[in-house]
Amino acid sequence: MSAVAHGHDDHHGELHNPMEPTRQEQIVMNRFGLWLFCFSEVFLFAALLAARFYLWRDPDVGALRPDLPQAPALIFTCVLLVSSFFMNRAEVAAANEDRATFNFSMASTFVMGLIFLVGVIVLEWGVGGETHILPTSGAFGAVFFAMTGMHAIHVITGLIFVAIVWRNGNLGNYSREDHWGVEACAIYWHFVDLVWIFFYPAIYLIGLAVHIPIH
Amino acid sequence: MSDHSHPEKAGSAIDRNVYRKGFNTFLVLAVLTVVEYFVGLWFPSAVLLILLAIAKAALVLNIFMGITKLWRGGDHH
Amino acid sequence: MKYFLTSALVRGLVGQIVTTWLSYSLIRSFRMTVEGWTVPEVGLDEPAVVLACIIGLFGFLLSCGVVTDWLKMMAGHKPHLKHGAQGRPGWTRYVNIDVNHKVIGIQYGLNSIFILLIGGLLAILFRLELAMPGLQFLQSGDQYNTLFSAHGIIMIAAIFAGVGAMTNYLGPVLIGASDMAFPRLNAFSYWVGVPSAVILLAGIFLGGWDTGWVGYPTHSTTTKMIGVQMFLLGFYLNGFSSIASGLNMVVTAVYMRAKGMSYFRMPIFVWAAVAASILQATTTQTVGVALTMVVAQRTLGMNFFTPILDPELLAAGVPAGDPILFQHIFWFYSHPAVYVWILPGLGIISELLPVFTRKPLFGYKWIALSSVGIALVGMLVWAHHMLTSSMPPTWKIPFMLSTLLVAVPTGVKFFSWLATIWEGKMRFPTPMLFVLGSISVFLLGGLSGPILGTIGTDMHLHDTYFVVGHFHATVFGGFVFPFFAAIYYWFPKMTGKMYDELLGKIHFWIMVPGFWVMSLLQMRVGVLGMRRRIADYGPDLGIQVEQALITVATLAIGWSVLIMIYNLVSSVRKTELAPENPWESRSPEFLAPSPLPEFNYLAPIEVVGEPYDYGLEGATYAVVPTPAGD
Repeated sequence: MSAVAHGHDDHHGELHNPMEPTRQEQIVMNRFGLWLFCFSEVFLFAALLAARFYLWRDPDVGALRPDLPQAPALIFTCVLLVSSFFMNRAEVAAANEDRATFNFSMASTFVMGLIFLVGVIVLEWGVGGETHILPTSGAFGAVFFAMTGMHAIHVITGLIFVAIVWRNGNLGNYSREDHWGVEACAIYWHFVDLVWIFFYPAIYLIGLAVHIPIH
Repeated sequence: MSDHSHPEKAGSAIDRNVYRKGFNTFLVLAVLTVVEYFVGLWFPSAVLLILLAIAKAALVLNIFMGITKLWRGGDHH
Repeated sequence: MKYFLTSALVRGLVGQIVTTWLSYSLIRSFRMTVEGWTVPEVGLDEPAVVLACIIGLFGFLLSCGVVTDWLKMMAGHKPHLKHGAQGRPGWTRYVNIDVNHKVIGIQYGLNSIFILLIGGLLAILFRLELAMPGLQFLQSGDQYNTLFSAHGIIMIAAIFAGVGAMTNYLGPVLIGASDMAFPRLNAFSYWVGVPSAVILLAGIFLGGWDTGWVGYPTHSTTTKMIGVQMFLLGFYLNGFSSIASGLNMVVTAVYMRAKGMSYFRMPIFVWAAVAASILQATTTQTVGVALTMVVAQRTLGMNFFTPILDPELLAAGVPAGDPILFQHIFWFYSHPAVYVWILPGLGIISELLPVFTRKPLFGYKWIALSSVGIALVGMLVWAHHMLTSSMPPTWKIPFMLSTLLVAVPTGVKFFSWLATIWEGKMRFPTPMLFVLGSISVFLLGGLSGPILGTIGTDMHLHDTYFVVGHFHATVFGGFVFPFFAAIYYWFPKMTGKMYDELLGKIHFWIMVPGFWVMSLLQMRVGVLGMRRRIADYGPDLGIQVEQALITVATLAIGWSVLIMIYNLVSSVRKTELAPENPWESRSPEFLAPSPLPEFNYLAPIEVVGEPYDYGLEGATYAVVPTPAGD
């Protein structure tokens, strides 16, 4: 960006050590590091998908899936998608120092993410609602709760991330040149959405539906 | 926003384009999700569903996550 | 003493113990108040142990202060990176949070040797037990099982710490960088390993476990020994350290190389470290999944691995769990994990050979790419650990073939070493002896590999002592001996003092022949019918002499390591300084003062030539700025 680094560089104060990276170089490394982290997480979710395709299977019929209510799953998938849209909008706003749009978009991202989380816990897990599947329902229950649970943990950390970035944006900590915090939050949040893009068909759509008896 | 090589000149016209790009991507993703739902219920084909998921993932990676920044903004040497 | 008691290490440990204890008692008493939950009157309450251990980890991290800077960033501050000892004596840097990669590297190294001694002590205990038929001094098979299980996982933790020591200390120095790309994350990688090791060690005393280091279900999901939970958690939490340090090293090597250092001018060790780091950053996630599943099945009753199902669910067509799933996910990590250890070790061999043969490294590009090749092929061979399982036969043959394929990139390395030695002007100080020792031992391990990777012979040898011999030969040849070579080689760089050459040679001449005896005899008793993981054997197997000799060799190895530790400790206290470049190395770190300055070099260095042009007139690798006046 600018040739004179010390303008925004309160990290290193008065003197920049020539051996240490500048803020701009650091952001480039941060970006690559975060992507590597996402790539690493791909293996985690791939292992869960592998478990799903390995266990939810019948030698004669092929792939199976638990018979779960379809409408809420579709609705919450769309809610997560909307939150992803607002996250993107917030990132564009931060890059243009458009504080009002940033605020509204971060708030929407957070609320949509929260709706998704609560929706999964209440309607899908049946906590305080009608139960369709239990953790003890054979391989269906085990893998279903492992997949949605691991995803939910990432949604929770993502929500914390969104909340922190939202607050720091309000404090005016991001500029046109340096809004790495917002970009990192966006990459992470979209990654959580990306995982759900694969989990949604794997859990709800692929394979023959089998009804689970619940007493 | 990484399209602005001169941030000080970034007018509101360009901003609206970038915002619109995000919105259009969102629309395509929403349509693909609904298509996915109907495919899953009426023509349950695992291959088709996986292809749809890959198409959605490619859109998110490219436009929402900006994967190209890794090599466009990342050359150090 | 005052400085030690207020150090991050002590604060963290106190924090961990206090939070674990408090949360354990709280959760246990909460669980007693809930109807329908059974809590044992005496002994440990398993779900409470699991939760308390996890909370205890956070207790450690918060009270030692390794996450403080990140918390400040979240609150919107911009904390500076703190360099130096902060007004305390220099040694306190090693027991406090420090972001300098050299300090972290030495912390890893000390940690590694400390854990190595504990793991070695356990090995000596059960080797004494196995020296003769019949139970000698152990009270039960469970004690024996705990000893060998703990030996396995503790040694793995020690090796990962050793890999961390080498990549952290050497990586940035060799590429001419000031530090790792993410210094705070680097400190986190080290410090998260400490509470995990504490949990592992505590598991030995809180019940022990009898699952081996692999923890296969359905045994691990049903065993009554609660220590298995601590083992699973300690193993799992160590994974965070692996993942974080792996991706840190990759980013560092991609973005922080000195001016003029193209990828094919990188030191060969860095290639190996990057290949290992890619494996570390990716496959570790899958073992995390496998271990979490076992914890979930034990504590929450989720059925991943038990092929038995409630009849009503079975009638409805709900699928049951499958123990083979665990083995797939587990070995997808745990096979590459071995490559994470040996790749840096083999990198050290290739790095040191040219220095001591005074010749260019033969086939630099091939060696560099063979590391990446081993890493990639290594991801596709996992099921050769399951050749005797109920996996479909159609899966076994591809895995046999991919396993044999590993021999190709490994062979590239061997032939390059031979060609580098060929007609070299060899010198034999201790590091070189250990390099040659590693090659001989790794050859033993390498040659016994294809025998186990071939289905027909594996049917006979699976789960025998042959596997134990093979495995120890690969790990000693691929990691332990190169690690020791690296310690001796860079000791003058790390401390500015020289180690005692005679003691170093004594260490070598006890340890390497001792290891040959141990490994070859382990393979022999395996072929003769000795099974692994068994506390006892019958006198009619006719292997008493071999077993006794293995025990003697183990004791010799143990003593020789103590000699090394004495050598290093006494040499640090010497007053006389080591020569500037004792090995006449061309590598940039030996052209800079020792011990290295805080940011490694006074100003950015520049690479102008090939790294291993030893013996060529006028060839220069790196231009290193020297202190004032130049």
